[in-house]
Amino acid sequence: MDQKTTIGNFEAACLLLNLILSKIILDFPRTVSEDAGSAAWIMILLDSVVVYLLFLLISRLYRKFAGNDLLDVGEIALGEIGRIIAGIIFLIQFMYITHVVLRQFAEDIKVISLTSTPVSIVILLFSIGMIVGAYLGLEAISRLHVLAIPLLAAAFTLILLFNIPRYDISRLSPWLGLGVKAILQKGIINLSYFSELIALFFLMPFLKKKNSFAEIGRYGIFFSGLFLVLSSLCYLMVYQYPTSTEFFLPMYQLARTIKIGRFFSRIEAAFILIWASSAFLYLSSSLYFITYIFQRTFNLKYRKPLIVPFIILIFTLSLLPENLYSTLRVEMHIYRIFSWIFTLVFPLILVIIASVRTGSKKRREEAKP
Amino acid sequence: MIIRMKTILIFLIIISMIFLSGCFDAFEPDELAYVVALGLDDGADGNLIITLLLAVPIAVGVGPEPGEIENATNIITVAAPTILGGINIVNSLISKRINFTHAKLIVISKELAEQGVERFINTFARFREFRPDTHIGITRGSAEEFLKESKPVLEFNPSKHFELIMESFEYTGFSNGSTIAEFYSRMECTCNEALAILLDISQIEDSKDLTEVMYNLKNSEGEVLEGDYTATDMPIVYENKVRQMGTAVFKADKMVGELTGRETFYYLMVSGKLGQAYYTLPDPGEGAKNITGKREYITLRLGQARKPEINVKIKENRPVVNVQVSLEGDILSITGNSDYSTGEGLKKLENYASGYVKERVISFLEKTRDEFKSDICFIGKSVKKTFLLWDDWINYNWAEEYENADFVVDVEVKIRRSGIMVKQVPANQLKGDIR
Repeated sequence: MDQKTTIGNFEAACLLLNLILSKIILDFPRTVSEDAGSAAWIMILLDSVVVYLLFLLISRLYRKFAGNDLLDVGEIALGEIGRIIAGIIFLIQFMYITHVVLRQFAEDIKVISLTSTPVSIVILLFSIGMIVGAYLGLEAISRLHVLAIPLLAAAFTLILLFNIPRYDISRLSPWLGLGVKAILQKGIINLSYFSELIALFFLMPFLKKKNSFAEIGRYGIFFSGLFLVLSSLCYLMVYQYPTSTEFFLPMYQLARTIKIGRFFSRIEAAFILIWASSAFLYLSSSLYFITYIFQRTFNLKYRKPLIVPFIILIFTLSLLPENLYSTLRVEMHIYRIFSWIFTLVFPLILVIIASVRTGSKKRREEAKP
Repeated sequence: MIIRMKTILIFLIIISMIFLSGCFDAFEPDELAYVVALGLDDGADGNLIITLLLAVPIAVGVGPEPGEIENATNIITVAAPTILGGINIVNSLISKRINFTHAKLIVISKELAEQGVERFINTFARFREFRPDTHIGITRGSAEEFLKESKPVLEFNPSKHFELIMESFEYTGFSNGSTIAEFYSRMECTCNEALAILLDISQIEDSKDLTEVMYNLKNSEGEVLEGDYTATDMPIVYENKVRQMGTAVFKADKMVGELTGRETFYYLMVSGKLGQAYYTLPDPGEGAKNITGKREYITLRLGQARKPEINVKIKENRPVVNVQVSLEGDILSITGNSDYSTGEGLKKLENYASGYVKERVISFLEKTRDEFKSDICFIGKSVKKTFLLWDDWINYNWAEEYENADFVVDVEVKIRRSGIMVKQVPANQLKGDIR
């Protein structure tokens, strides 16, 4: 049934944008300023350019596999075992980030709003949303993204605009922050901020226009890069380094300080709504991709029966970190170091092998009398 | 069957959304006691004396009877080693739960501020109930006494009273409106130092006391202009005894000195935060004195014509700070007979005002350098902008370098309007001096 599902370019782009950008409302502006100081925005700008160029290369090679997802490409490259290995790798990656993000969203909600509610209840509430999203499928999720993303983008832009009176460009100095070496070294690891780009390669079979994936990816990376750079730039123009490394939720902090006149203040209440929407969309999409990858990897007939077992697994995994710091550590010190390899380098290798194998197969067939 | 299952599922989800939302965190507003102002004093054995000025919602909501405005608030004082520890004790005593989300003012005693306030500021920055726009003030005496003496007279909503009074600096220029967010950011900044609002309780009971107060305040020129004093000495007789005037200056988290109301005016000028405020200066006319031999004055409404420009150049290892202040104003009052509304007179007044303000701005800046050793005017940011690397900037140590700074100040005052009069024809020109 899912294979009949088709989604448009805008829907796919919105889905991609939310997957990449939801980290802005988590800890992104803080963690980048920890890595590069006042030059965090330069580091992310460079990362965006590198990812854009890498994607151009991958998409050029991928053109001949348009309409196939990465698991198909794995199969073309290394046979059935290639599909299974690729499937397991991407499954682990999605499982890892989904349980961490689920816990992070839940902890964040607990810190700023539902302070007395047990974290397990908050996670449970998110899990219900995830089940509903994954059950309804990609079409429903992507259409919901089309409705939500423009609103989320507008809300994000408003937060940045309302903070204009507090911007001070001098806070971005010293201009190279912790130094060129830190920018380059940490910049490589921080390519992982674009790791959700991998979702595009699983959306391929569902695209109405199979060849438009390169366009979606280019726009997706451009706007993701734009918003990521803007968020770190604006945050640093309000909170100079090292104060910028102290706040748990940078965007929430920016929203909290908005005050226009005596009446327009405390808009972070609306921010929680925006946040929860983005979280639900992110987590539902992730659960969908997890079940989809598992189904495709092991050639299963049905996807929906996988939803409940996986949500139980994710729920349990998300409760494993002992505290908030452990959750952040799992994301910052483990996931971010490796995930760029699986999302940018590994697909590139797979596509190169598949291209070589397809080429040699074609040559062999042509050589046949 | 499937449709029926779906309907039941959707129904269950909607029901759970209704009943689960906020089930753990639900608070009725009437179950909370809203703190309007918090006072901190030094207690015995390392304890804090914490004073809470609570709003009484019923009194605020319906509006008290005339003369019963004080019923709108309630005061509780508790001793504890930490602020939130003290709040816990209070919570066990009163029927409502203490909540800081509507707190407008935090008052810290000078004694505590001189020891360092980082331990409190961290609480305010970390605990989400404290709003970043809550004002921070330092009182020379006890914070508890300050809050006890605080009796809003013209406003029965205590929260609004504090909010409006703390933001009055925009049209008086005598205070600085420092908030938690601003204080915290400045305290941690490597190119700037923190400051807070200076508060105190007035000891003046009667208008007869004003003569003595004014006599004691006289400067070397034998005059006292408005704002030439701090909150303690304000020559005012008023039902509400609490006063706000001047600035508490900090270096890192420790209070190191005070600025008078007028010096605070110059601080606002240099840091580009001056709104539109009245400013009195002596009449520039030679020997401009009235018939009784007293000096004549001119009152202007001054505001920032454009943002001040601050440039720092390092010459012979000393920072040379160039400050350019552009002000514009209206003539609001001339007590003497000279007319400065047009032509040469206007030019003369502009030149005189520029020189007068410049002299005082330099002396204010020198005070921050020599007496406080604290860059409260954000001058360091001009130096910071010349650095590329964080480590180099930290090694430069601006806080220390500021002590060697030289100031070159240029003030330009432009008079744009002269009120609703274009010139003044003095009565003595028409009828002669009548003795």
